[in-house]
Amino acid sequence: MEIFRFICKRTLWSLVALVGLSIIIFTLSRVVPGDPARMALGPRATEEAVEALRSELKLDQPVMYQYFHWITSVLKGDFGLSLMTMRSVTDDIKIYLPATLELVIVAAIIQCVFGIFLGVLATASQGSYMDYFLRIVAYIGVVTPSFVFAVLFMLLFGYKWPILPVLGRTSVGLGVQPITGMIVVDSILRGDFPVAVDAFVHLLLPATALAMNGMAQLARITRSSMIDNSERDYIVMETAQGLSKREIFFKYLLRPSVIPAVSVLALQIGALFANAFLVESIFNWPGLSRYGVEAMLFKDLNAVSAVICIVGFVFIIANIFVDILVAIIDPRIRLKAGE
Amino acid sequence: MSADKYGSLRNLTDKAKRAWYRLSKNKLSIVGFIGVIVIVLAAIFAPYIAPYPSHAGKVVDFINANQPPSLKHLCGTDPMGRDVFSRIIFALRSTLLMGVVVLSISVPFGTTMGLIAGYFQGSLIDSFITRLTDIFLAVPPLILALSVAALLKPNLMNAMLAITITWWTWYARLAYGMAVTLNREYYVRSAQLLGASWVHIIFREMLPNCLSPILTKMTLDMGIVIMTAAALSFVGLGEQPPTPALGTMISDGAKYMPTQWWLTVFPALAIMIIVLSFNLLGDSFRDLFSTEEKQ
Repeated sequence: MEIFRFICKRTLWSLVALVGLSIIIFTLSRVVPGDPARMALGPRATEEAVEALRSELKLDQPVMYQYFHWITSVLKGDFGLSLMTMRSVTDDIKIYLPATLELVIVAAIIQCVFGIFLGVLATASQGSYMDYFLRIVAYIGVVTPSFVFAVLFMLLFGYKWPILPVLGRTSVGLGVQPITGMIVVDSILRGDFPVAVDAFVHLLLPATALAMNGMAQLARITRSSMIDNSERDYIVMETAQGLSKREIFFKYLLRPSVIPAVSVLALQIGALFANAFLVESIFNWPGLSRYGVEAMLFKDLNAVSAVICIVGFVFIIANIFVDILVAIIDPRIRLKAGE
Repeated sequence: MSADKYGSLRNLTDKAKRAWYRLSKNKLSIVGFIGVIVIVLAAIFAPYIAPYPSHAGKVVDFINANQPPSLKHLCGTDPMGRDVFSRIIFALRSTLLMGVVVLSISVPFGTTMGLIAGYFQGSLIDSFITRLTDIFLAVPPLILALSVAALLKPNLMNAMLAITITWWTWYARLAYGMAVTLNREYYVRSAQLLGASWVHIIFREMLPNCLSPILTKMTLDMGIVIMTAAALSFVGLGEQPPTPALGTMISDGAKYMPTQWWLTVFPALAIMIIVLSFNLLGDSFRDLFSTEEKQ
């Protein structure tokens, strides 16, 4: 189980890196000018009230002490008080995180399925107009920021041809008692299918806008690695042995060719979270990322640190997941690790 | 490659000619090349090209507000009556400046860090630099840039700083990988035996051999930095109004969306064209360098 040890070691180092990052963010947030307590209470609050909030937030203590206090409570699952919502940050995150997860998961599925499919399609029709067309589409997908896709999609499919809803997670008045917080999952679990369909339709536009970049990237990677691999000796040999084109294509060419696409997946999941920061605000999606942007603009330090930690943590999990996935698809890695 | 610096000037011009020939064979490279030149020239000569140069500032002209695109206003006018086309041309300035400043700080810094870590592979310096890059790669770069920019005062300088802080790590990683392989080369070994200092080895022996992948990554990165910068200014963490920035124009325009579509569509197209041009150029550089290495 060498691969297991490798993954454990990497995870441990990522956690160390995350702690390092939290120190940097924390120091940065405490040395910047401006009094967070004064900002939270507004200019008309009395000096005593501001002073009280400062001592409650331990802002009057040395930075080292503040950090120590912060990290010990984070390990207990308490991210402190949000100055923006005046609630516990942990409670806020419990509300907002599932919405973002739902969005990112659907976007990841869309980008994997369509990205790899388009790459395969382009390879199969290599040199034809279809290939040319797909390459142009993929290029446009790579050079367009996802918030631009979000705005353009909203304009086209929300207003010009209103076929999909553009705001929020469900239509007004519809909802479901939360279990996981992901509305589609919850409503299926509770057997409320009209709500599930409604929530899913609301997901489509933001998730597609989010997925476009990664989809184009995956299509390009898949196409180029398939074309590279198709010149390999074993493919030439199989052709010489008279295997059918279809069999070679799907059985022997596809599997090694998706490995590069899968290995960029962890980075892409990170990018999905990052771009969700903008896409969520455009589609008025009440998720963690929108909360994060608002907290950043409000200089709500506890909330910002919490969002960064959570995203970093999800990023680590995504990396582990992709490492395992690559090990499953690629026997060479398992062999190398076993040596 | 290493023979380059001993080659004569004529050799170099020959090489440049050959490179240009290969570049000009590919139509897409030409498109990218021309696109980049047009964009750079438009940014430099913005006050002379823009039909309404004063509209890049605080101008209010309510009579001409919210005009759809016409010959007089190619991309229409905004709710203040300012010409959108002129504002886009002026926005190119901060956009390009952003890319140039970010890369010209983060690339030399990151490359040096990576080469030092790679040269002293296995030492304390190596693990320190490697862990430091790990810290900055622990969260997606855009999120780190957003939070740094938000914690500081929102302006162009701090946005640049925020992106630079996140960007150097990629070059450190790239240079590190190359330095580790170059460590085994004979010319590095012999320089060591001859008593050359590590500064000499890193900058005179290793650096020239890492340049082509680094330069290629730089041209490709220019587009990504511009996209990141647009994302920052979209949230309001970049160039502050009234100075135009493409991201800000899109987010402001989005408020008037179904009817005044030109406020969002044209700045969006501008971003796409800029990034596309730099990417096409970067791709052709990559092809150029990779064929050169094969020869």
